[in-house]
Amino acid sequence: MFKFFDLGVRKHGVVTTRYPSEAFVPPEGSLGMPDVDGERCNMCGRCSDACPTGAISLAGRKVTVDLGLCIFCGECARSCADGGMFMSREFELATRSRGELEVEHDVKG
Amino acid sequence: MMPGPMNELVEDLPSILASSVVSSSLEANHLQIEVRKDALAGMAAHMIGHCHAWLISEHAADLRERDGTFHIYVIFALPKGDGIITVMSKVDGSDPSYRSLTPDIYAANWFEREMMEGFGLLPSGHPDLRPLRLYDSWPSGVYPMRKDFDPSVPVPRVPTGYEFRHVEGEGIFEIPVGPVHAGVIEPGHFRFSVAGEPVINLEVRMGYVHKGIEKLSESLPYPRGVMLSERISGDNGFTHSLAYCQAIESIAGADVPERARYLRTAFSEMERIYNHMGDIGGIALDTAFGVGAQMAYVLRERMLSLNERITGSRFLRSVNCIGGVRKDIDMSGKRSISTELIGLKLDFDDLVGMMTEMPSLLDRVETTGMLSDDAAKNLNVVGPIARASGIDRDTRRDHPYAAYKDLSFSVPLYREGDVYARMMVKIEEVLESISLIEQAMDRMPEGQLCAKVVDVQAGRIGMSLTETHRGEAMHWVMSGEGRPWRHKVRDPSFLNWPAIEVAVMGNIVPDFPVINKSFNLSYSGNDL
Repeated sequence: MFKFFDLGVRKHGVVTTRYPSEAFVPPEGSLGMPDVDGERCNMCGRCSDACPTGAISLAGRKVTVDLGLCIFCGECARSCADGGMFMSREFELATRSRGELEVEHDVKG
Repeated sequence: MMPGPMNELVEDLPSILASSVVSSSLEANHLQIEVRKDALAGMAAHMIGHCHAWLISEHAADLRERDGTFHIYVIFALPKGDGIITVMSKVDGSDPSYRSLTPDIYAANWFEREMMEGFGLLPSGHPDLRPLRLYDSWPSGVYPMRKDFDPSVPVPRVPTGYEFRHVEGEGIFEIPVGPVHAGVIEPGHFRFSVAGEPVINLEVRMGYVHKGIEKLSESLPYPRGVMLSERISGDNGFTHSLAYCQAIESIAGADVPERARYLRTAFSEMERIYNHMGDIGGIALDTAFGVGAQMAYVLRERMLSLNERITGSRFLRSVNCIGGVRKDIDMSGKRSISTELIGLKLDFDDLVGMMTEMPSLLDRVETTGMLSDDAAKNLNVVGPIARASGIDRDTRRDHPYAAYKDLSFSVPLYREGDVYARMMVKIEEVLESISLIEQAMDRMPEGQLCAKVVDVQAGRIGMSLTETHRGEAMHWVMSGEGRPWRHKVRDPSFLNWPAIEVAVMGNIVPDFPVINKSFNLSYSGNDL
């Protein structure tokens, strides 16, 4: 009668993780938040042209990524020749206001 | 592939139909026949009645700029072999009406309502011309799929109502359910009429997630269209984008590298497994077999994590591209897939063993939500739902694409047409999918991932069929300058939704959730 225990705890133990009390690191190559390496970016603007939703804008020495528009397709990182734009594994992106979703990155050089 | 019988098909037409043929041409396995508009319904009825063909799609394109007409395309698949037949008719822009196919072919019903509201093409003799997807307050005479419709201008709202079918009588109650449901699912309205417990009528109202995908696609260059097609229906993004890519590749005459064809097959099957796991878990949950449901969800999660490890995306997004794929499976990826699949198969066997022996579950699923063989044929249902009602159709075998031609697999078939049969079809398909992935990885040759596709000529038609976990999806593209002139998407759910109205008839209301889970249809794919 209690055969179905075999499906659960008795055979598999605990399968849930301790997130969020323990950090979760997504596997390598995971498409998380697009991020900018300020050392390598040369403000060429190819990422902004490649973005299907127009989430990336360049002004002065700043690259702004609007995570409210981003669809995490990775086109920007693919278009970048210098490794300035890359897909990070960051996935905890909730904010308390719309404005905070617009992430500014400073570009050096 | 089979030019003989296809040619004969035109020669064997009854004289009254033969005299209405304007032109016909045969290209590979695709027969195109243009007929005069008054003969369209007769020709379609002949294809179904005489050739036993399956209706794949009926849709229109606005070509008034070119020749002053709307073109109506009715597409059929022959029951044997890989043959596709397109019957085309031109409808003059000044008199946009034609004889409805619906009185002869019930499955044409929703297609014609869709053309009615999108293009303003009036199907004379159609029994039900209520709107299908647009808002109740959409003004009459505004047709969003016409080329002269400007999507950037807001449409004024005109308050109108929607007439539901009513069953009247003593003790008959109406239960409206939705469009907002408990749980994180999509919106759709169900109007039940019940006499005591049994449902005596159900009407499904869709359109709440209509997003104008087809219109939007006409403004997007082909590479961006891939991303759009990945988002037509979230959980079968890979097979949808595959159909779109294949349609464009067929226009461009591109040669997809061998390795990419095998990878596409492997990814398609990975998508099928995680979705079927969800469906099987859903059936377990709705029959109060909680442990089994959780086990299925654990397995589904393991597949989703595997997808993320291999491609970076849990839902296999950003994998397809026109000309091939972007993500490779390397040696370590292969190893992690085979380890995961072995573990999955062992645990899945435990789960299936339990589910198929549990009296409380079987009692709920057997003879529940019957869809008879006849109803399934007339409604032209596709996918696991068709295969659970005795219709032996699977796009992967009948119209092979990617690498399916070179791999061996069987197509599970049940005849009962109840929730149990649909559950069993999905269970067996998971096992076939595991074997297909293993075969694909064994035979996958080295080579390029993506061919360069540069020249997509304007004014050509490309079509592709793929088998999603819900059944056959079609993408039909008429090319324009760098972007589609017309892009028709036919999700399997569009054919399967009307079948749920038939399947719940006579069942008790508490069985509706489990019937709905066994169908597991997409709202977003249907509403586009």
